[in-house]
Amino acid sequence: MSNEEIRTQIENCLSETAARFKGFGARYEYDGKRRRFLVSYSYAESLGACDDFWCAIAEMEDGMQKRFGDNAPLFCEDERLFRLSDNAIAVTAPGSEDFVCRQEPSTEFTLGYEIQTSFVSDNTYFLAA
Amino acid sequence: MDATVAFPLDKKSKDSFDTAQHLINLKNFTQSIHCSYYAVVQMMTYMLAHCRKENNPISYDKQKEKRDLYNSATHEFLLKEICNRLDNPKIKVQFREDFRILKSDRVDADYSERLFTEEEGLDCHDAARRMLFHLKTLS
Repeated sequence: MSNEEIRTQIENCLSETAARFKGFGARYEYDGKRRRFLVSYSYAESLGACDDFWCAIAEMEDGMQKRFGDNAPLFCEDERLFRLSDNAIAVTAPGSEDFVCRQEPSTEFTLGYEIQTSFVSDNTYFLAA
Repeated sequence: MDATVAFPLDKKSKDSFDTAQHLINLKNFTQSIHCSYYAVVQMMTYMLAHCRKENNPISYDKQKEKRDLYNSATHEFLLKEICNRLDNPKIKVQFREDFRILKSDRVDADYSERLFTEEEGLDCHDAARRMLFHLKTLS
């Protein structure tokens, strides 16, 4: 399948989601390094506690995965897992909030056991421009 | 002497996770991605067989039967079954997203000419850490 077909499907899915859930918006672009589309979405605080919203997001992402396999776009919330450039295309519905900045990495995830090695870094880092 | 020694998958997962950190320490960031990814896959396989009864565990043999139906998408089968057993809808989405990006990076690390930076190696290791944390909630 072509990138154009994937792009069209991304736009359709994001537009449908934005029309269905007020306060949802997303940006996407093609990433040459990963050779896939990257989609970062954002949502109003009220949607965060809405199970239907998360089920719809899961359904959208699974649908893309099923249709495009290894060429499926990669998703994350608020650039949590990757950065988009200023050229990324925005898809929003009227009344959506502006996109927020990338979240700080969470330090709450611990495994319950110590790793007995020295670390190259303390896992803090600066994002590439 | 019995040449078959059982080594539990959760222990293999811990070894894979620790090995990823060793590789990062040695600045072998690209090679570390593989270990970060398989730490997660191994724990997913283990937890699917050993999760709480109410979460309908699937034995290793049954997992193999079901995986065979997925042909080349066997890790998607694991992802689907694990996400079905996570409670929180938001966590289900985040787990999927972490997994698919880590999987994509693993494929690049193993089969493409892409070289990974320290930041990327650490990002993958962090993603594995998050997913392992959520997997442990299934026991």
